[in-house]
Amino acid sequence: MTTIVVPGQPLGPAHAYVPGDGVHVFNGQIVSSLVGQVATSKPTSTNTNTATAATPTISVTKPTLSADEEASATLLPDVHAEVLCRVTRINARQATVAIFVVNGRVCGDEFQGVIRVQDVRMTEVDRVRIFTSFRPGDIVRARVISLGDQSNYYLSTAHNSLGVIMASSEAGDPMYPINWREMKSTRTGVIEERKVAKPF
Amino acid sequence: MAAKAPDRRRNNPPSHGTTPPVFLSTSSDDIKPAQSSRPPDEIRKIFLRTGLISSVTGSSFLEIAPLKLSVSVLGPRPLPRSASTPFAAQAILTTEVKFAPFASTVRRGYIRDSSERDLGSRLYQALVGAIRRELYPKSRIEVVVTVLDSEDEGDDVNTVCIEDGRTVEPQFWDVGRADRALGVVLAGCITAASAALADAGIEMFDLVSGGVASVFVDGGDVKGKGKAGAGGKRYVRDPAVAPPDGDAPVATCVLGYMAARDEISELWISGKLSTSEGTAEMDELVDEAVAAARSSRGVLNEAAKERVQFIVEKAQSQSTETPSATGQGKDVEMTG
Repeated sequence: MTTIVVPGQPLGPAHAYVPGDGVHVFNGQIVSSLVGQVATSKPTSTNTNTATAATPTISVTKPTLSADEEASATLLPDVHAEVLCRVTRINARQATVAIFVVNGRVCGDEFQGVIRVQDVRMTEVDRVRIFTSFRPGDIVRARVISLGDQSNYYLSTAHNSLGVIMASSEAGDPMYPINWREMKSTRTGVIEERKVAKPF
Repeated sequence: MAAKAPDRRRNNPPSHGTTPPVFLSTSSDDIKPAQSSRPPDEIRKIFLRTGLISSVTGSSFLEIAPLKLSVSVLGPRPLPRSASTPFAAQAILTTEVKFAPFASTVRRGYIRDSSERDLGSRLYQALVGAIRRELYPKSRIEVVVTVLDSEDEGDDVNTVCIEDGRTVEPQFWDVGRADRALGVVLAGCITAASAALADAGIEMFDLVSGGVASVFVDGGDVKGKGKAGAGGKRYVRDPAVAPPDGDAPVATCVLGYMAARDEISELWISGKLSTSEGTAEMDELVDEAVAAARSSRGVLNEAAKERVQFIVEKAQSQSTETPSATGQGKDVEMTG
């Protein structure tokens, strides 16, 4: 039978554990910040050089009824998070997107983000044009590079695995990628330009 | 002449008029026996449950004798897209307390009045320090409290004292009725909001529990303008609106208390306290309120755990059932 802890409940001395998720340190004590179950994980064997290698990580997780629904209610994009987003509008400088999946989990609300023209791809940045990279309605895999300003998260697709993963042609037919910069319509065979993500 | 366009700027009354609500005799008579049957250092029984509203991130429902309120927590959700909102490195907390129109003896409007806004800002103060807001940048967390029933009777000026169906003049022991009633509401709001935040899975340094205490002196002292405060001082935790045995109320203290860190996050004292012995009288009142908050913390802890416990047990029972007879269970469901 697992015990359930509440916020404010001390879990152990700070020197005996490495604080993980759902805990904080107060007065030399590891204290829970969530209602949930305590989990201690053995230290990974990769870093055996320091003294911290021997201390286990302690964390508190809140169990949920359905695997993804409740936990994603408090989900927010953070820097380095991989997100899926839908392009909402484009102009010459940037593509505005709506983020709806963060790190593989669907979030409760959509967050607005932008992919600036200089963040679309890694090389030949000066020759990138937004109009040949994204179109409104495309589904894009991107990475958060900054929390950005008050309303937008700044995203980047400057990696082979990042870019458009689903798109429709101008006529509205689904397209499949044929190389890193082009996609082909399944029905008419028309080729359109996109910044395509490398399929797995 | 054309019919008058409806006035959209004001809260219009219904065109056909309304019947003013008729209440039975005031709760003071009903509560007095309950008050005397309870020792002054014991708080009323609390009913607190979380996760009753499925459409919000976290919710709770609290009942303390006449007081009934429900709390919804929404978010963290993205900030509204307007140029006026600045970049927020920490989550922005908004709190809202609304009495249902039928929640108090005096009917309330649908627009928040000053006492509701006041309660809202006090609730904000009680909770804002407990939430780990730095974990939720560029987002807002909304706490919405709906009071469904309370002992509140409006402010002191508008207080209507009804006994045996007749309106009577307020007596000396009715002083601070509104403060005591609102104090109990605020303490309930704080406790229930903490439970709802915990249910939402929002990370907190500690749970905040609310506590109320009042100090009374013997009624005779005030009536005869005698030496008030010489003795006969009574500290009552979680006081009822009607004072016990005609004692004269002196002051009320409401606070939000984080028991694990021994921190007071919100303190509200109203009334008159003597300063002849320095802050001794005030300290004692605060200590009583802290003790009341500690008592409600016990309920808060159990209520916060209850739903998680339920989820854990459900998950365990499912994991033990699945290998044996999944087909069997399905068949039973189909025939039923």
